[in-house]
Order: sequence, then structure tokens, then C-alpha cells
Amino acid sequence: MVIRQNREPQTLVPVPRGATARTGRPETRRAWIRRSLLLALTTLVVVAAVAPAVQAQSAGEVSPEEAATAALAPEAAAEAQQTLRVQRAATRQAEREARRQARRERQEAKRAARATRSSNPSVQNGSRPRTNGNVIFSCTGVKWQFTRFHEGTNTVQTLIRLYPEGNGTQPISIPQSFTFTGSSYETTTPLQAPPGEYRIDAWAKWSGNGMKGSFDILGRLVCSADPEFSVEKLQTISGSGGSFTAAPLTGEVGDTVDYELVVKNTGNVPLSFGSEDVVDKNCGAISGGPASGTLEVGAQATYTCTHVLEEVGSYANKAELSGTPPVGDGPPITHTSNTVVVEVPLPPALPAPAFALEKLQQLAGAGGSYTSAQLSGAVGQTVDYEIIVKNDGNVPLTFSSFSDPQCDPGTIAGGPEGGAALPVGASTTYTCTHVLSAADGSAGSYTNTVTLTGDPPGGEGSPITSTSNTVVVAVSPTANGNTLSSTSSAGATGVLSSTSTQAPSKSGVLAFSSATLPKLTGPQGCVRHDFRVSLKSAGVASVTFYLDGHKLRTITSKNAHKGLLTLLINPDKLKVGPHKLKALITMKHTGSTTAKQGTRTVRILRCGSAALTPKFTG
Amino acid sequence: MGMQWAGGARRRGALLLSLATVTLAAVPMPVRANPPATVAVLARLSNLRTVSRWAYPSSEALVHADPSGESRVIGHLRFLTDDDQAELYLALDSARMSSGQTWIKIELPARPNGQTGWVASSALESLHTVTGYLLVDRARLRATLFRDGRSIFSAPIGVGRASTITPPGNFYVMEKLVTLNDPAYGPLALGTSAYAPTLSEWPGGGIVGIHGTDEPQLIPGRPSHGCIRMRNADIKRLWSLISVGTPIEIT
Repeated sequence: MVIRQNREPQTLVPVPRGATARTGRPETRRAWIRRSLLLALTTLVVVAAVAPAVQAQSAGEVSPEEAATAALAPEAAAEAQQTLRVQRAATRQAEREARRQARRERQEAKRAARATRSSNPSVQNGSRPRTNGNVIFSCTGVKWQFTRFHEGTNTVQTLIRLYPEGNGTQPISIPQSFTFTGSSYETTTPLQAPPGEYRIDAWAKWSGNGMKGSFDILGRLVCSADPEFSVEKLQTISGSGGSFTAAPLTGEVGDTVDYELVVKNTGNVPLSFGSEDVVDKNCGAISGGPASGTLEVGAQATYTCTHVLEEVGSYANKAELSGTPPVGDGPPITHTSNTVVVEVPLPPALPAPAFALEKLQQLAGAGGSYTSAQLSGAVGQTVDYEIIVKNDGNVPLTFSSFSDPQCDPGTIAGGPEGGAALPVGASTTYTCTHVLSAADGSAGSYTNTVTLTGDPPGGEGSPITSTSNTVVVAVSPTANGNTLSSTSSAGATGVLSSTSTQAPSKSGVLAFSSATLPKLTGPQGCVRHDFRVSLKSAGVASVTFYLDGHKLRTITSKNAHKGLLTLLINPDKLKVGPHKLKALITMKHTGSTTAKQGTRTVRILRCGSAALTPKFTG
Repeated sequence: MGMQWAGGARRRGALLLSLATVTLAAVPMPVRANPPATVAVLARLSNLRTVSRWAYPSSEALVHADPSGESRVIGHLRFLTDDDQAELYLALDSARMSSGQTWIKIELPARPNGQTGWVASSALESLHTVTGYLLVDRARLRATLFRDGRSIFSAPIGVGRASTITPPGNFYVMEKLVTLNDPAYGPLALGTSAYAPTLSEWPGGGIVGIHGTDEPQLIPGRPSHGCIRMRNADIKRLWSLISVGTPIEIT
């Protein structure tokens, strides 16, 4: 209704709709009365004139047009009828226009409200803005923010209503209650609203702790498809009684690890998972998953698989999973799970007494250093010996007495102080001397090898014996060429035995022989993973490695690390069986050698997997 | 495992020759020109109880009846078992000859059980040491692992039935396996150097294994074809305690 103010301010009169449409100016009260009377009179005249015609029409004698024409015979009546028709049409038009305008205004107001709420989903409490709370709407959740509460324990009842627009679906109600301590609190209620448009009503009410209040906030959500899922890998050692966990575990070789892959649909559309959508390379057969292949919004499913721990080390596992939303809701999405780890430590070491024995020599006064290489001496010269003992087992060893028949009597010294046990990893050195005799000169050389026995502590294994390398001093060619042999038997525990063979040498000249080449060290037993072969770099100019005759690589002394030249080899492409690894070693030229190259060979054994079906009788 | 060796008569002859050689070694040898190779030092490497030694082969060398390259050949070393694992040999004794060469007496994993032979020391990699041994008592149906004279593990077992007995004798652990695809073997298994005497046509040659089972109700008992069965928890425990090369005595 439109309200106009008259020139006489005391009276306000409602004006018929459309009354000002023709004149365009305000109408006086007297003129309005005149026009009304005229209208009433005209109406009476028209009714009286038309009544007979209408009666005739009712009797089926004339048509309505004829009746009206007959009734409007007088000119005044015709003019009045025309005026009435115009007025009615104008009135109807004005009413329609007013309704359209009102509807446009309401729709505009709604659009404005929607635009405001969509662009700024943070809607304040209309009655008490920014006093005690705030709400932030999104399609994935409603964030509640409660502020300016009293210190202490506060309880707030909330209710979310989600009204789907347009499809007649029932509203979704989510009642909740939050109890928090302190003056402020923030939490989110997940929604996972399916794609569509919604009106949302978030209501909160609190009473207690000296406060009472509420707010009710309206909003609007337009949610598109948002396919999403979470995936988590869990593990447990089968039979351990432990629950599934993402934390690292410790197992033993032979243990079976049970895995769970927990997938949850955290989006707002269903997701389908096929058997080919789960990739877990480090697992056996995979089972489980959504029963129908489709994971509904908010639902979760679990895949399972197992793995048997085969080796000592660290076993990590993760999985990759792809979910496909309905057609039109986006492409498939792929996620990789967390990584879970099982550590498989080495089992407790068994007592394994062992030691290494190395014999070195030098000619006294010759200015050289101790070496295992052959030396040239003369009768009357003194040979100094070093016997280096290293405990490379895992228990201490005691060498209760030490004697070396190849050393001159009374020249032995050194060893662990006070005859104490040699700790694991420790070394000790014995020394002794021998004066080259005429007999040595007749024999042509003096050879020395030592054998030693060590005792582990009681209950940690039995005595162990080790034999050293052999060192040789070429003395001079003999006159008669005879070979002499002397032996001495192994003594009681802790007593050294020594074997010496004196043989005529073919010449007094040092020859470059394989004995002077550094030893090539490689893996023993099976290789299934990367392995190293190495040799000491001292005196080596370069070394070229060949595997089954195929050249692998040449390493020079510049590549030496910690005194070793090392080659790392991946055996993945090796066939199961033995393989020959040869090292062609080129020594640095020192002026005393007659050859510069030599070879060392180690055998590499590529084995099959240790996880198999045995061929036992059962 | 699975190589063909000479028969028992030859084996006995070889042992007698070895004993004769050792006996000679105990007598002081006169020095003479061009002496034949004799044993200068004989050392026991394994007592099969507290300390034993084993080695991987470094070549497929010939195995001789005596510590001499001229003695009868009774077989050769192998690198791989029938399960494609590293074959290893239990070293019993060593003999350093007057020629300077060292020979090692090994136990042969072959049919018939109980054979030994000699190989040049260069045919073997370095020696590894193990302590203790596993006693398999068929009468009491129990396996016991000893270390330093003390029992550290004991469990009931299932052994071969009367028609497929578990063979008695001295053997050793050849390989440690994780079993797949056949629950009858349980989760883990140990391959031994023993052969089932009556199942020579069995796939793999009839190797006696020590393994778990999917019929724990039959243990202790005599349900097997020669293998030694344990409950799965027991084989897991034994598997973690024992190492390859450990002697096994089956009584």
C-alpha cells in the first residue's frame, strides 16, 4: 500500500491504487466527492438499463453483447460504461504492478542476503554481534567460535539444521553439546554436505557459569562435489597380541607382519575402489576393502595383507590407493599412505672366539720397515720379527704362554701386560729375533710361520688356534741343494707351535709374486644385495675389476678411502650360481720389483631367495 | 647336497688310511731327501659339541679319501644346495703336510649319510666358528640345543614313522629358510646335511629338514617322512638361536 500525505497535514487518506495515474497531480477532496457521486449515479443508471437485457439473456433470448448494447442506448450510459471499463482495467493493472513490485523487492532482498552470506560465510549473531560467538559455514563443516565467556566450565548446546533446496529432501539436524574450560573455545562440526544448495541454520544456547544467552545464525551454502578420502597404514606382529599401530615395531626373522590399510571417505560423494586400485608392492595378497566396491560418504573400510620377515634390517611398507567418484563429480584421486616400519635386529651374538695372527720381519740395521714381504739377508745379519695378535672375535682371549721355536732363545718380548686377557678388538705385539746362521745360508732361506692358541673365558667357547702368514728371508744359494725339513708339534693350550721349511731359492733376487699383492676381500656365502669387494691400497697404483670376464671398472689410488680401494656391486642381474670376480692389480713402481701387475680372484655366490617351499621330506 | 659319493666300503677304506696316516704322524720322522708328503701337524677343528668350524667352498674342488691329491676321489664340492642356498661344509680336522700343504677333513652332505673326505685348504674359504650343538633324541621325542654344555632350548618334536625313519648320526645345519606356500612346513625351516634313508626319490633327494607344522596335535609323535617337526613357536625360537654350521646329533 502506498501512503500519500495530503496538503492538510492532519489527515491522511488512503488513495485508491492508480488514482493518480491519469492526472499526474494530487486531487482535492471536493473533486473526489463529485467524481464519486457521478460514478454512483452512473452505476445506478447502467444497472437499471441493463437489467431487462440480462433477464432476457437468462431466458435465452439475447446475447450478453446485445443486452449490453440495448442497455447503453442512451449516450450518457455509454460514456459511463466506458469510464467504468477504463477504471477497472486501470485498477487491475495497478494491482498487478504493485504485486510484481513487491515480489521484486522481496526477491531482491533475498538475493542481497544470499550474496552477503555466500561471499562472507562468517555470519555474526544478529542480536548480539561479536559478543559471545561466531560461526563460519563451509560445505565441509561448521566452525564454532565461542568468546568472552566467563572463566571456568561452560556448556553450550548447539544445533545445526541443513535444509536442501529444491529437491524436497528432509533437513539434516546435527545436535551437539560442547563443554569447555576457559573464556573461549573453538571447534568444528563436520558436515560433508553432498553437492547442492542449502539453507543452514546454526543455533547455540548456553546457561550456567553466570551466563545465559543464545544466537541463531542463518546462512546459505552452495556445495560442489568434493571427492576425498584418507588412508592410513597400520601394522602388528602376528601372534604378539599387540594392537594395530602406525608406530615402528620390532620383530624377528620369521615373524609375520599383519597390515591394515584403513580408508575413509572424507569427501561428499561416494567413491568406488577396485582391486586394482590398491598398490602395495611390499605385501602379499591383499583382501578386504568396501564390501560392494563403493565407499559411501563418511564410511570406512579396511584392506589387509601380510608379510613374512626374511632378513635382519629395517622393513618399511606403504600403500597407494585410488578412489573414483561418480561420473561428473571429478577424476579419480590417488593417495599414498603413511609408512610403517618393522625393525629386525640382529639376534644376540653367540660366543665366537677368534683372532688374527700376522708375522712381520725386517733386517736389523737395514733401515727398512717391518714387512711380510720376502727379504734378502746375509749370514750374521739379525732378523727382527713382530708377531701381531688381534682379537677379532667377540670374547676376550688369554695367551697364557708364548714361545716361538723359530726365534732365538731368550729374545721373545711383548704381549699383553701381565699376561692379561686381550680384549675384543684389541691388538698386541710380540717381538723376537733370529741371527741368520751358516745353516740358513746353506739352506738359501729362512722361513718362519707361527701358530698360537688363545683361551676364551670359561663357558664362552673352547680354545682356538690360529696360524700366521709365512715370512721368508733369502740368505744365499746353498752348495748342495738339499731340502731340510723340521717340524714341531702343537703343544698344550697356549703354547706356540711353529713349522719351518727351508728350501733352496732359485735366485737371490726378489721377484714380484702374488704374495706381495694385497689380498682381495669379498663376501662369503650368499649375496642377494649390494656388496663390496676391496683391497688395501698401499703400494697399489690401480686395480681393474672383471666380473665373469667382463670389465666393470678401474679404480686408481686416488679413489682410496681409509686405506682401501673398494668397489660396490649390485648382484640383481647376476644369475643364481657362482661368479668369478677378478682384480687386475697394478703396483706402484718402486725400483725393486721385476713385475708390475698381478691378479687376485674371489668367488661371488649369487643365491636364490631364502623364502621358498623347501624340498624336504616333511 | 645331492651329489653322488662313493659307497660305504670305500669310505671305510679311506678312514682306515686316514687313521694310518695320523698314526704315522705321531712318530718322529727321520730327515731324508725327497720325502713323501706326511702329516706334520694334525689339528682338530671341530669337537661337534662346544666348538665347531665350517666353511664355504671357494671352488668345486675334488674331495679325496685321504689328505693327498693322489688319493681316491670320492666327490667334489658344490656351491649351491638344491634350494639354491650356499652350500657349506663342516670342517672336522686339519692336517699340515710336510710338503707345506694343508688339508681339511670335512663332513660330506651326501647319501649315504656319515661320509667324510679331505680337501685342500685352498678349496675352502676361511673357517667360521660355531658353539654348541643340537641333540635330537628320537626315543624321548625331544630336541635340545646345547651351548657350552648347557641346554638353552628344548622342545618336543615329531620324527619319522617306522617306514620313513629319521636317520641317526652326526649332521649339521646347512641352511635357514623362510617357508612359503606350504603350511605343512610351518613358517620357518632348517635344512640339514642328513638324507632320509628310504626316500631317495623324494624331490630334492630326500633331505631331512627341521621345520614347523600345521598339525601341532601330532607333536610329540612319529608322524613324518623323516623330517623333524616342531610346533611353530618352537621352530621360531630355535631358528633364532641356531646358526648354520651347527652340528646336529640324532640319536
